[in-house]
Amino acid sequence: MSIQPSSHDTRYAIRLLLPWLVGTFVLVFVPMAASTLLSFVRWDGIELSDANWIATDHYELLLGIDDKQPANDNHPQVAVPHRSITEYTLARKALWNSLVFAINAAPLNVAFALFLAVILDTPLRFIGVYRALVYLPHVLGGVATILIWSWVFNPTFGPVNTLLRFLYDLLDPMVGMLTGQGTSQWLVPGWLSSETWCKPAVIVIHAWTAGGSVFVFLASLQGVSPETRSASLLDGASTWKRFIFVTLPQLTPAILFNLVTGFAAAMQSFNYSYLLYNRDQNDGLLFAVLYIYRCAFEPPYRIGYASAVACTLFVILFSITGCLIASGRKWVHYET
Amino acid sequence: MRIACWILAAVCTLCWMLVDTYRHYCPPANDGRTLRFSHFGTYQDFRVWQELIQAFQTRHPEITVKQEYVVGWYGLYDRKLRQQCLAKSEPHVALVQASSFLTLAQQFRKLPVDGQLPFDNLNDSAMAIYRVAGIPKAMPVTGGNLLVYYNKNCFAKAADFHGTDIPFPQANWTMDNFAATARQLTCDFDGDSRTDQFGFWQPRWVYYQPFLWSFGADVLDDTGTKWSLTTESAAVALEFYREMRCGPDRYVPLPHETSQIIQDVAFLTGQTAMCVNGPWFIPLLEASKRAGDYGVANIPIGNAGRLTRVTWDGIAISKRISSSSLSSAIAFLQFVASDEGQHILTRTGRALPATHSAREALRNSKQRDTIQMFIDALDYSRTEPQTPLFRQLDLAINRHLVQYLQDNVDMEATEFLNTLANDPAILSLTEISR
Amino acid sequence: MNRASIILVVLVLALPLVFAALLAVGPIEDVYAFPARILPSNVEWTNFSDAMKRLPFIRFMLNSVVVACCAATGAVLTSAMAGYAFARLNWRRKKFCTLLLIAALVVPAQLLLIPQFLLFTNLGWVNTYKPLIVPAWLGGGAFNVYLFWQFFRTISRNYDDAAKLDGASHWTILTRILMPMSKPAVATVALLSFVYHWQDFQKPLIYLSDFQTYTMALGLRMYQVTGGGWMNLVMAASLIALIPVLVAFLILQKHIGAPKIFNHDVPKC
Repeated sequence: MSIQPSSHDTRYAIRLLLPWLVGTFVLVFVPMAASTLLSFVRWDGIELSDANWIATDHYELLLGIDDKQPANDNHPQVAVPHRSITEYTLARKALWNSLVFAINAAPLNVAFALFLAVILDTPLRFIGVYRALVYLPHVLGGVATILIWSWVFNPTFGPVNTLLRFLYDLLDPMVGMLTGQGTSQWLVPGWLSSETWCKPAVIVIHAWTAGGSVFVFLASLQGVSPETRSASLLDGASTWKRFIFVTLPQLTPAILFNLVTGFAAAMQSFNYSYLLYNRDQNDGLLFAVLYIYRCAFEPPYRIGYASAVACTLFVILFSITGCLIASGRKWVHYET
Repeated sequence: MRIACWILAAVCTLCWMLVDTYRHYCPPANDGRTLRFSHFGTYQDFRVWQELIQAFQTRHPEITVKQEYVVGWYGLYDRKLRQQCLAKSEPHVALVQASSFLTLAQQFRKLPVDGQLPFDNLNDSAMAIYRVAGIPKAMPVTGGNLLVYYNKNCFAKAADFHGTDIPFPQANWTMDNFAATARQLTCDFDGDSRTDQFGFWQPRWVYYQPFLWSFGADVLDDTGTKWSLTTESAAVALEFYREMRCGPDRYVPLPHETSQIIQDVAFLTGQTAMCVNGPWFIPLLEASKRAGDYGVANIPIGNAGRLTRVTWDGIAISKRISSSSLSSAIAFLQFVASDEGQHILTRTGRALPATHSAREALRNSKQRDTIQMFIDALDYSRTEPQTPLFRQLDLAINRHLVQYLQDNVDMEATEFLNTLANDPAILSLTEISR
Repeated sequence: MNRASIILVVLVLALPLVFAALLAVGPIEDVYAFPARILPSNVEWTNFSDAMKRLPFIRFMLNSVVVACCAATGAVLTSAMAGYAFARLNWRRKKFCTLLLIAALVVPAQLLLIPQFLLFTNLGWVNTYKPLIVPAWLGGGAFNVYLFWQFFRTISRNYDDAAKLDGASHWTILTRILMPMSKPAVATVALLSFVYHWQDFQKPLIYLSDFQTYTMALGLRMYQVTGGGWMNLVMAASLIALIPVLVAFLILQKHIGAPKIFNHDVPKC
């Protein structure tokens, strides 16, 4: 094995790496720099000569330091004269929604995946089939399944509320005995159409697709060394204790990995918001990416402001990921 | 040899990747024979326009029409059209609606008034909305007005339930007749204290406009610049609106009782016995094997008589069109306004023809009495005042109405009208007009 | 006990699809029956053909298959190439490239959306499939490169050396020896990128405007927009849209489950 780079290898490597290198520069790093630059510019994305350097105005607007909204419409004769959805202040709400969603959805997904992995980590017959079935929702997620789930959560006719009503009826005599008043006055949640319940509903939809992380956990579980397992068995540790003190520490690298990737994915989710957000009802499902999309691709095309929101999203994502990884030093147990 | 293969592959890939770029910057010269036409609507609308274009091309084999269809309702299409106008890549000919035409009108050229287009044959009120400073900027093609649909099965079921006869709506029924009928139609068949059949439903305020007008109120004055939903009759109309869904014997479902259901389906499945809708509802009813089960009634007469809302789709020609394409565009417009074109567009009942002759032909065809109802109702139909701020108003009114029309909120109509008039969106309307 | 709990979990996960299937075969009246009924009052198989007829569904499906297959092929090929270079070759600035790879791994795709759109618009690629396919042929994402790199690392270099003695080039080693030996990685990347492009909604939404070029995801959205109330047909259409992904999954699934990758090389972030 050669340690020193050889010129033959270099020549060959460049050929193999060429597509990837082009992709990385043209589609990742240049756009990243462009995005940062665009956020300091007021521009509708059409004629480059219309672009105005406005320094940090967009960020001041976003952070609420300066609430003076600029007249951005370069083409008032064609621009849509309403500011309803892409109103500047809604950006904060959108970022907040994404953050709340990701902070709840990512750990929940990890916990659910961990649970699935633990019950699937047994040498049963047909275990491969069961694993495949658990993995399937991860593959099937998408527009089709979001449409299906939106029906499942329908407040009047959906199965979830039908089940809830059934439970209310079951509980009615018991609650009536305890409090003197039955469950007939209890309301079922409005789920996707209610400001309070829309996020829990979307988090459940998201948890359904946790199968992807299950495989990472399963792989790590098989790495748990048999020696430690049998040693703890000899010690007479209970199943639960064994899980907490032996298995779980060895899973921590996988937990961190899933948490970081899951958080990034949740922060950037678009489909839930695009398909389920209804501006006539409330803004609870307006996620940052939908905001960016509408801000940039709908009149009056605030490309600059959308970029500023995108950069802010990146900063939030990056700092939270950084915190997670830094905290990992305390709780992640790497095999040496 | 091998290197030659690689180079060949690389060149091919580059060519493939750059061919669109070349086309983007050096578009093939348009000889005026290819006409781009864009429209919106459902897939069924797409099919109707496709048929029209085929018929046009058999008449004019020298012209090719490229159909650019934007899926969905007007809002999305409108945004796309503006996007294209900004990029100077809008289609030569575009279907437009009146609601936001004012702010788009500058993008379209003045239509020739030298008799090439049959303006005399077109509906006057429809012509009026597309005139800017007296000059037509779009030609109306089809229209639709709102009337009350009623489900005959629901009447029968309610009559069975109450043990009384419930007559179908009369030609000259009043608001009180309407409310009484709707109340009778509202039934809880199985006695579980959840209403199974509602008398009436209209999900968005624009469907309430005919009622508002019939009570003598309107959101804007005729110039479209002044907020006028502040009058006594407005309070009466809104009180009536609130009674519908919050009164002691309400007959309109509350929002949580109808989430994720669209009006069409609620009516089709018998959850609501009556609804306000346009002629575009007819093909859907026919397709769902429910033809004959429904009827169409006039808007009930209110304090100010009877008025309903009509909207006209129009066709406009881009101001950037080349002179060679212009003659093709005019030919296309002529064909759309011809009896043959109008027949294709309105045959299924999805819309009313804009020309007098096509309307007379339809009236005389004795095809379906429901369509007759809509044509007759054109006599008391009006277009809504136009404003560039239509979307903004629409959103503001909707959001306030949601507050007002809740059963747990106790608000006087006058109080509601006050808060609405002070909404920033509505205040900005008066600012702009000033 | 364990088996029972597994079966229970699988059943719970399958419930939404079961609801969808029951809705899809029933008449529209069942959808809005209250209280909700579990079994359809009348099985109407015609719902499926109706759902396909209301929109040019076959067309959308073919568009999606073309896009997803082209993109998946490109992703497997180019990311395997880059992965090979990382795993087997020593070249100048390798450290720098490794840093680039890790950096590209953490850049959120949404940050790149607007500049990429400006780039593709100015290339004149709007309303073609190029913005969807070409990026996959340019490395197919940092994660896939990383996956191949880590997988190739687990394969002993003795195979390469033996082949080299026979005079095989790097290209031959990659395509004839390493790729066949890393079926799990190939299957995982192929499946993930097929599924990604099949489900991708945002990019087609931005780049495709001609209705004839729509992919399945956009087509389903069309359903929601113009016929949202016909829930039985929407469900039928959604279920049909799941079939190709299911087929891809069934073909590739027995190769998937590349435990080794994550076993040793969960990235030590």
